[in-house]
Amino acid sequence: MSGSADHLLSLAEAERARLRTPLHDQLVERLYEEAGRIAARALDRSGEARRFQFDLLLDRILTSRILGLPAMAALFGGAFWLTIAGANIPSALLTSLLVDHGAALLHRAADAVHAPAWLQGLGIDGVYLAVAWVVSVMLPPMAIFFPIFTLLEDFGYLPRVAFNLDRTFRWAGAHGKQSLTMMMGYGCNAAGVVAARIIDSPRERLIAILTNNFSICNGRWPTLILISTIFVGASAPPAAASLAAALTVVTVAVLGIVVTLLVSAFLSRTLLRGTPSVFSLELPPYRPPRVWQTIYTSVIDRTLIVLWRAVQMAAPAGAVIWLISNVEVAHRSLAHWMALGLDPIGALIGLNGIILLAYVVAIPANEIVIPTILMLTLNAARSKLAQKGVMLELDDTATRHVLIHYGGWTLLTGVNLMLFSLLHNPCSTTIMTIWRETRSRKWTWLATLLPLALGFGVCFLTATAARTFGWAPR
Amino acid sequence: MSASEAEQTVLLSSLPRGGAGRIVRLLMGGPERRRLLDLGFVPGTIVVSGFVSPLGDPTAYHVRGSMTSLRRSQADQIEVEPCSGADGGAPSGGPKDAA
Amino acid sequence: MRLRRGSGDGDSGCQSCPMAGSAAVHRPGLSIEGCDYVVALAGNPNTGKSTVFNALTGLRQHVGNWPGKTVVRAEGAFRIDGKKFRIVDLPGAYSLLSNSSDEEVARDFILFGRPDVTVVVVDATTMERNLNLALQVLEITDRAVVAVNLMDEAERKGIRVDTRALGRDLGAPVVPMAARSGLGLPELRAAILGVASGTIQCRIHPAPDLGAEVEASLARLTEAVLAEYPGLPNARWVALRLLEGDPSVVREARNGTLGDGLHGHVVDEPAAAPTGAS
Repeated sequence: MSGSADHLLSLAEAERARLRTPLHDQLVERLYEEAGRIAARALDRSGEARRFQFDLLLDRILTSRILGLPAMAALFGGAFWLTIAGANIPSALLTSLLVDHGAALLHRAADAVHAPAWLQGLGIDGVYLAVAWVVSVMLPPMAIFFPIFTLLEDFGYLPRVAFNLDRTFRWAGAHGKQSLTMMMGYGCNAAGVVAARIIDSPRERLIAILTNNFSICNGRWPTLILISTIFVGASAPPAAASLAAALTVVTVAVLGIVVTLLVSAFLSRTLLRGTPSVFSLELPPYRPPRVWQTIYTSVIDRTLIVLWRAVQMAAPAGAVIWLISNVEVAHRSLAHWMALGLDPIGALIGLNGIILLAYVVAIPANEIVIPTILMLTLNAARSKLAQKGVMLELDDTATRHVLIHYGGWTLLTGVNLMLFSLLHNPCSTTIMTIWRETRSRKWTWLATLLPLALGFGVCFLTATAARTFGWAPR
Repeated sequence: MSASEAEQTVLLSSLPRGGAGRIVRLLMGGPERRRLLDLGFVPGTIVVSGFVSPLGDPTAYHVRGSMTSLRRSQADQIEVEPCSGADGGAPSGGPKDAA
Repeated sequence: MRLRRGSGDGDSGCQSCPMAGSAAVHRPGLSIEGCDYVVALAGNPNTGKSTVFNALTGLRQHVGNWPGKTVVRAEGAFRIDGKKFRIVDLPGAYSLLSNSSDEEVARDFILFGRPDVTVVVVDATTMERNLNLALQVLEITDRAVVAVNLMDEAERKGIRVDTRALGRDLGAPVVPMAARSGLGLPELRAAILGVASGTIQCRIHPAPDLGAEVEASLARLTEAVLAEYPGLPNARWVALRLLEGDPSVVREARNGTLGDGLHGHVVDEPAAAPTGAS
């Protein structure tokens, strides 16, 4: 078979050598000539100019040197504000409904049928609570953010964003469309990774996938807001407390953008050097968005599917967290031993063993990192405030009290936790998604370990600096 | 086919905003060339320079009824023959009749 | 194992990705059991292809005003007059000549998966560039329907499309549509049924004449291809790709997998279709 195939190929080569003009160009030219002829016969464009001018005018504004970037900042600033402001109330409602009342109700029901305590613990305190937590933190912001984003997409604005920002990304060897996968990443990194499909050039698509984790997803925003409030805000003068906290969060997010660009530049100049890359960016016409249909499809396609995957991941994590807190070896829980074991590494990078353990067991969802830390800290201190294995949420003052007095946290711990929240491995949902999208073990591992290595490196540096200059206890 | 009347050609990147040009040839090769041909950047086609990104690059071009943006490095590799807006002003731009 | 690579030994990659919606993804020739006809949906990126797909199937796959949403093939099913159709939404492609992986998926399916009907969705507002693809499709199949979508948008832009003239020039049924509002859907369904059942005949659009020199080379090469793969549909097209040195076709020739889709699908198919094999 292959012998005759070789014959065929060598024949083709011989025939190709005879040709004088580049065949592909000739072919495409002939095709376009014909397409042009047919279109000319079938189309009447006499009325075209006016509408065309309108689209052009809109584009002149939305991509103008003076107004283009401010308009973009205003649109996305508004979108993020709506998401944060709008998600607060439903999130609180869901938390009270699912976490507080739901768990109590389930316990009462389980008591009624005399379910054994360990089963109640594993099922309700472990699995159910983790799921309830993820749903109440994750669902409202996504249900607001994704539809807004999708409406902008439907309107045709998003390609203009890529157009406006392409130059920055070009510097990093990436594609302007990566700005959009990053924005999706602010909602959910798994969704951001999938969104990288809009980039049709292989190298740029891979860069967008590998760096999406540096966009802070909505599972991480609450951690940043909480820690910046109780550590940075609290150490600022009271009048400036909330401003200082807000600025801290923004700084971390901006740091994420800087890291994205630097890592993109690094990848495109090293590992991905020579990977094929062709830039093209079409600017489709503006279309009036169909509001209801957009909301429906974005809630179904993006929000619920992403949520469902997160729930699938959170459920076993809840079980594991409950188990390691309740299985005792030599009068201490497994969690306690594990935290003790991780303590030296944690101390080296300005964190502690409990934080690292929380990041290990909460790999399925960043949402449950803080509740897990609080629970583990209280359990380790043998406080009666927390039941073993039951994640909990406290108000800001109580959280601060618990972390500082029971956990021994300092400002350095707070700052490094924020840095580590930005720079650590993607959640398992995102890792799975990267695997599905790239089908490559190599890239999946790299996407997982690179941010983690960066996190350890950066936290080690800040910890060392802080201790050297006496800002933090040794 | 070969553009011997090359005295008049300029690079696409040097077209002024709103200026029109007829593509004479593409100077790049490989996948980039193929992609641009697919997008309609075919010799004989009229391209109108649209607007520039606020950061100075890329630039949007009207070609065959659609709008595609090219980076400067790409527009630097397309030779065009400037033509008056008269028939180049329209967002379409059929190829010269041939064959 | 990636679907978008190679011609058809890919596993389904993306069943659970958020954008694939409820539609499953399969390789060519795998999922035809229990259906009467297979329909392929092709078109340039961002022509409303996915909207047409949703309109036909009643599925609600995410659609964006944005080139490149459907990167993997999505599948769905629908019925016309009791006949069961399976439809494959191919990734958007500007051309069948290019080498991007998305375009390869589309091309391989149309060429070797041999759908009973290929619906080419074209954007009425950027007709020339879309016709470029439509012509290439019509060159390799005589069982096609051209859906001119976004007619409403063209009208808003002041462009009028004479679909009858278009149909005459293309030699295939042309259906004007505004898929977002469901306009033209019954006509499209009728045209699909007509082409599938053979009541509507299209003619193969002649490939552009490349001049005596090229055509002579091509003729010799086509003969060699047919000697190697007797009965291969579109042998001239394959020969042209070989002459061009198209890497993926060369690779397939080298592996002896050219036209493998053939064994998966057309062989099992009831011989209802006197397809115009070149």
